[in-house]
Amino acid sequence: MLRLESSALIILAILAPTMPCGGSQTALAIASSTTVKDTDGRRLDLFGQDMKAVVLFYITNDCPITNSYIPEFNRIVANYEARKIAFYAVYTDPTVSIPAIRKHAREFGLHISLIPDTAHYLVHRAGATVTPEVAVLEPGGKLVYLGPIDDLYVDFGKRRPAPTQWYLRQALDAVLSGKPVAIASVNPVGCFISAEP
Amino acid sequence: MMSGNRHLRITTLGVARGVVCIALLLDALWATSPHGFVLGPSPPAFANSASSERADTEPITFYKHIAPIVYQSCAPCHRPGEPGPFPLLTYTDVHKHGQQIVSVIKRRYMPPWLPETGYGDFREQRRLTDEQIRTFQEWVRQGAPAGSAADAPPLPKFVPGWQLGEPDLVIEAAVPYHLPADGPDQYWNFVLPLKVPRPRWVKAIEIRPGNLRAVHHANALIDVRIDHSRSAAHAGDGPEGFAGMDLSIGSATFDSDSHFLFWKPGGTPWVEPAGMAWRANPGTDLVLNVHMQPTGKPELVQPSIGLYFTGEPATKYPMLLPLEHDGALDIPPGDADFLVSDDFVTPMDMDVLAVYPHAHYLGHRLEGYATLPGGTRKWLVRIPDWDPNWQAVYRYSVPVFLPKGTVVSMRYHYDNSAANVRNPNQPPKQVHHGNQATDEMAHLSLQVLPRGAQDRRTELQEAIMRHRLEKYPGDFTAQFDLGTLALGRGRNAEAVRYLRGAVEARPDNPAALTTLGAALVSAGNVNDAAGFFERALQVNPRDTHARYNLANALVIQQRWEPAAAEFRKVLADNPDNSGARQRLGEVLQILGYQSAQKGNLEEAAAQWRESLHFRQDDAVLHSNLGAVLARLGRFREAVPEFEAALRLDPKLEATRHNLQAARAQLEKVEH
Repeated sequence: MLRLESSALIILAILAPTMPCGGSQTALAIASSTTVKDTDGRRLDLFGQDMKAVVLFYITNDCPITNSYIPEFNRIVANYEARKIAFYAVYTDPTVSIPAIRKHAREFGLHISLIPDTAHYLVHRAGATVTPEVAVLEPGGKLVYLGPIDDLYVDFGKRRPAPTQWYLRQALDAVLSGKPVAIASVNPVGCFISAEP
Repeated sequence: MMSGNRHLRITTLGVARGVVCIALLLDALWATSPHGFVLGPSPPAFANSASSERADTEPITFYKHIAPIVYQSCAPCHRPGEPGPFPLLTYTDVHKHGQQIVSVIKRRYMPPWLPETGYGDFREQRRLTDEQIRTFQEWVRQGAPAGSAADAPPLPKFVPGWQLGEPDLVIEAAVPYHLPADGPDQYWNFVLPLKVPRPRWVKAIEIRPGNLRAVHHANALIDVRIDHSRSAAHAGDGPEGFAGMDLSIGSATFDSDSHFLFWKPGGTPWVEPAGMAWRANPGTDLVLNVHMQPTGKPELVQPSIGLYFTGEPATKYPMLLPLEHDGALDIPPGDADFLVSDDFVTPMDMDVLAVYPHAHYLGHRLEGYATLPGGTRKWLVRIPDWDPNWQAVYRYSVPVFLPKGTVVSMRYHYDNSAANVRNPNQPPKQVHHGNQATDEMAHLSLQVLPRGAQDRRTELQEAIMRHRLEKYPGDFTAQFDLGTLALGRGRNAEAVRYLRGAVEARPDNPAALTTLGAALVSAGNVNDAAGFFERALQVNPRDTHARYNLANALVIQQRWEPAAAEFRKVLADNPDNSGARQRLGEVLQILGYQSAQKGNLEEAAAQWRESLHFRQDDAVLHSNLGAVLARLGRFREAVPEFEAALRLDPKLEATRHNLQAARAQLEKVEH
């Protein structure tokens, strides 16, 4: 799915259950055996547990839009983690250090697994382009949502007083109720994920 | 401008991301204003011609072409200790954020600069040229090469800490504001008492917003008196601060808005031109209106200000000329282009030094221009896509001269449609003037310096208020100010007319009642005057001004006993009121004469004794008291009074005679 950074348009992808996944989404599927290392060096299998979905929260520690979303993200974690949704904070800055990640998570109260993705393994797998951005993956690695948490930001410097669409919550509700995700991809507004050094 | 419990004038200034702005109510020291002035220091200059000199075939490199742009236009904020979220000082910094930078500069989101080029020439203009944007884009497209470090311009020298050096006085907010981790934008007014032991002239102020991540912009006013009424307006407000998006301040003395004091991230603090210092008086407050955006974690915001004093008093007197039409804000839901306008005719030649446009979230296209007497249009400012988050005071590179008879125009366009994503009301609703984010404002403030040898601010203020009265017939502020101005100029009948209008608009306003009373006294109508002073005291029994004026009216009516009673009450509240002390002394002296004439010598003695408390140096009073005491046979008390009188005035022959007589009587009694 082509996502133009210069456009503020929302691209809707309505997937009927019987409809085969688009080519790009198939290509973005993450192998179910995917394992990643967290900041403590623990090897985590994203899909190894009995989870209904995995949420990857792509962040950078120096992006104001990212940081401003952390309280809402934490509320979503609190609302959904007991319902077999796994959450991971994916740090995408290729130069970020483990101590800097830990400090950032402590300051902003992020209490989920922290994954340094300096090599952009997870960035490429879901096709994330900016932070903050979230990817929702179903068991088997199927990408069912990629985009912002909600529609608060329309563009740089253009922020609504309050969101009118809660994309991530809507996607998770759909997954939990076994329905297709109505809005599967939205152009995010935020800080571009830097190229590898 | 229409509301608020102000007595004289309201200056309402708005607020923007990383922008701290201060407007100042200068106190009422009005003096001569020779024309011509010296501009403040220039911003640091960096070589900035590299991009336009580039030959088409030459590869674009960071050091040669990009660094000059970044150093001038990005690094002032994007460096440690400044509000930019990440530094942009090195090749690595810029390379890492290259794509991001292209994206934000193409949209002109960065660097933040709202005015359109060609519609006013401003200092410290931080706007990239189309050519610079193309160069940056091309550089990223070519792989963002570093090039040779030998080509690099020198890294700009940034001053750490206070930009103008250690201030003469630093005032920090007493209590930090606790900003929650998320939620809507917050607006808070910090009250910073100006702790100066004596009046000082201030040539510069530097504001430290106290939390660079959270503070979007702030805006301050000098409150020339301790106005406790302003903090009682909202629940949870206290002496250290109060809520509200805009600031309005009442003033009990006729002072003038005069200076924009303003901070923006990475900008150099403004140093007032020679002769344009402003006065900080003991007992006044600075009120800092701060706009904060939650950052994702709880933040403490504790601003401080640094003041830089000068021994050079003001010799030039600028004023803030407010174009506004808040009363015309009645925007229907769905209206995508609602126009609000104001037109003011300049009553004198003047120079415009700076401009400050202000609206809230529906403001879309903001224009200010001047039509000269010959018909030529001079643009003052044009903002094609208003964003309150980046509002700022803009100072002209060269002051804009407006001859007498120029029409200064404000044309503000508002978008109250659902398509305006910033619309705080979804679905849109009817919007009026107010200081909440869901309300609107329409203000274009100009800092102007009237030309001419004298201080002409009174003249200008009068024109401003006449214009206001045209816009808002029956308006309290306009009538009160015009009445006060007329009273100051001895136009008593006119003063009474305006002030009666002000009292009609606000029958319970003590300042209007008191000033009307004063005007009536000046017009010779003391009987009516006393009634208005009494009404003021019914509203506020602690109103010392009203009580003092009432006492004086009673003096004019020769009602000595009640006059003395009122002066005593004034002194009970304010024992150091020298006018009341003097007047009470005089009244008691008169009462003593009357008592003496009626033969009530005991009463006369008591009244003169009390009078002496305020008139210790009055030789005649001592002598008369002595005489009454002698008549009462109280020679022991009489003698020291005669002696005191003679010490003060040895030429009082009658007193000398009385002293001798009293001493003789005393000896006779004792032997």
